[in-house]
Amino acid sequence: MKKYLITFENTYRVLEAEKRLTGVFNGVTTIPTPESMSTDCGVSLSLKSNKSRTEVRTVLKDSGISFSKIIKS
Amino acid sequence: MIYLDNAATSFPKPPGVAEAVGEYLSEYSVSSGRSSYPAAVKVSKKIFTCRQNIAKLFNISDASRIVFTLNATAALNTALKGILRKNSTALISSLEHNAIARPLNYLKETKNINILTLKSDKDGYIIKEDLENKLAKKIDIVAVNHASNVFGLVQDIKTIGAICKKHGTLFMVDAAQTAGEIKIDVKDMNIDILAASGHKGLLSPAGVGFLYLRKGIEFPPLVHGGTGSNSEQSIQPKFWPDKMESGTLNIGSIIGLEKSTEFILKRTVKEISEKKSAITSYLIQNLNQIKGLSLYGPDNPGPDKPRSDKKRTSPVSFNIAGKTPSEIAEILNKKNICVRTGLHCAPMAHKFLKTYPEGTVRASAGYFTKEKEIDRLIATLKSI
Ligand SMILES: Cc1ncc(COP(=O)(O)O)c(C=O)c1O
Repeated sequence: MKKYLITFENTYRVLEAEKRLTGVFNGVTTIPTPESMSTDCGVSLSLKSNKSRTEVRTVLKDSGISFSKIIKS
Repeated sequence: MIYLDNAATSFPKPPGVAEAVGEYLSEYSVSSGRSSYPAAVKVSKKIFTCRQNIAKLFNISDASRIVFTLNATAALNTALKGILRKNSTALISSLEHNAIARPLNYLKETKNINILTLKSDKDGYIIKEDLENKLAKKIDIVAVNHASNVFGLVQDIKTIGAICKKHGTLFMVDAAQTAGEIKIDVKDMNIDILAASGHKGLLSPAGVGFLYLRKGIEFPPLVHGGTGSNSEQSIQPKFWPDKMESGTLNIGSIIGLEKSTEFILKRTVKEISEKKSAITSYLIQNLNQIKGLSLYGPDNPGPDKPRSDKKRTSPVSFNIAGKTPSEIAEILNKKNICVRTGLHCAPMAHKFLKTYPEGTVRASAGYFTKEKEIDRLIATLKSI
């Protein structure tokens, strides 16, 4: 399984996404945002999936989640 | 203590609220929205859930449009000062609290805004035809309190909202006296802006309130500063709720509000409404038995006449012939029966009732008030 890191503009959006994606993906959890992503808020979301980055992006978009970036980690 | 001042702030709070706040203070009293360690995420989640609970209670589809404030007053100030510009016009009812009247009069002095007051019928209800007529001219906001904090009169918000929508005018409701007590649905009632405090009918500790702004309504916040997001930028973020929430929030009270709104959602607003209505009817019936006591409000017809079916909330105002409100308060204070006297921060409502400037005695029961507590009040009043 691949691990993805998703960043958001604020904690509200992180927690909204966590709520909506728990059960949709595996291992959905909040983690500290790496410094390289410092334009965003201090918390990010980590999740696991067999899907490609593009497919994950589509799932997020279809769930109405407003996120900043998806990074394969 | 017999507490009948729930219109000022509710007491007691529901079971679990004090414990939740205490647990926060003693176990994980850290900041929110800024850090990623477990306690910080736990706090952020509580605040998130609190916003979701409020969204459920008022049928708000995007909880990020709910902004935490210090109280209803701060929420109303944010909206009025954000929306009204030089020479703008605001339309209000004749029963507004100072939380609306004072910021508007300040804006009148500083920005030359116009304040128009809607005509009301003999009971205090806004006259719909007058609203229609006044909306024919450009009005920047209609700001109305849902229920009077002096005598409990509830305006027909749904009809007013529909008329404002028809005219494309922003509609703001001051729900300080009704949030958690009367069903409010921002979509069904066409409410663009909703302001309330946590510590009254929403049963939280003091120090938190909220402002809801419909999607599409954008104006600068009253306060700018750190949000824990976009920190490399020296300007305020544009996204919600951060745009409107600078500085550390009153986390303890928000955690209390999370717990109290959970309680309200479980009990349902309908059940709370029925219970408060029953205890308020009991209060009114018994007050009506007291000689020389005059009650104010549309549904206080006297002991021999039927009660009107018009909705009301819990504040009940009265006076007793030959006594001033403060003389009555003095007698009640000695028995530790808590009521509020005077003008209740709402001189407009007292001018309407013709009880200005002395005011009235106001007794307001809460969800937890018992009949035997009302009996004690009545017995004491009868002895006067
Ligand atoms: C109708 C109304 N509006 C506004 C307020 C202000 O509420 P707060 O003191 O929580 O800001 C109150 C409370 O006194 C009120 O009754």
